Amino acid sequence: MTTNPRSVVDQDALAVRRTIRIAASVDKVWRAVTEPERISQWFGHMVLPGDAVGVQGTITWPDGPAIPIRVEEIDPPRMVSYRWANDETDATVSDDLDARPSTVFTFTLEPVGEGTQLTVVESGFEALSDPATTLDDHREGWDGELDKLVVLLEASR
Amino acid sequence: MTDTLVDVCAALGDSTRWSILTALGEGDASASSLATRLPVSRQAIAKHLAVLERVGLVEPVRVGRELRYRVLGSELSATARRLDAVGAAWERRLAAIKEIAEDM
Repeated sequence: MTTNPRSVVDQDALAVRRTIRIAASVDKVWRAVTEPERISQWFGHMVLPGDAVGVQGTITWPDGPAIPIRVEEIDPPRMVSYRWANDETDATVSDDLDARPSTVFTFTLEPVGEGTQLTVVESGFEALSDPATTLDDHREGWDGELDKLVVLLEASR
Repeated sequence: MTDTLVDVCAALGDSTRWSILTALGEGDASASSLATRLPVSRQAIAKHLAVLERVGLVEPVRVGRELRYRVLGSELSATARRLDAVGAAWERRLAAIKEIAEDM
């Protein structure tokens, strides 16, 4: 297995970027990140009626509300970008993605030898209403400029 | 004091404020002292410090006649942790995508 770099926090765009090498063709990886039945295997249950820009569907986790998700950009088989509502604290709000706090995640696929380098970038966190609740998750190590600065700041106290 | 990510992110989305935070990371300093180290006027630095103070990233400390600023790492750490949690979630999802594509 390839050693993959840690997720990086982009201080300007407030984006999270992650890259992985996969020992499978670009076409297979493309299917894994665009076919709803495949997406449902690594994400939530995905319902997406089509794969064109603007097509909107839902993603659902057990006992959770249906979360709107939309194809923002697509350039087969190299790039696909989805916007999803990211304010799970309120399930009663409308399915109008433009009226809700949302983030965008983009997959970029590059052939590397026999395999594929898959990069995901999720951005738009500055628009979230209640990030502490939304993003509360397992704590793992991190690097990048932001955490270097945090270490510097905390060490100075 | 507000502690939402949006406010902290807005405060951090400026290279001068980033420089100020980095400079303060080396030790508490007044606006005047920061102005000697950064290519920005004392007045501009005072405005930036006010923004940083509002979101809880720095706090003023009076030392004699001087008003110095101190960084508060906890707010910044919280922001970094929230973004890091997103990174960790993607790490798990990418591992699953890898498995799915390699088994196809």
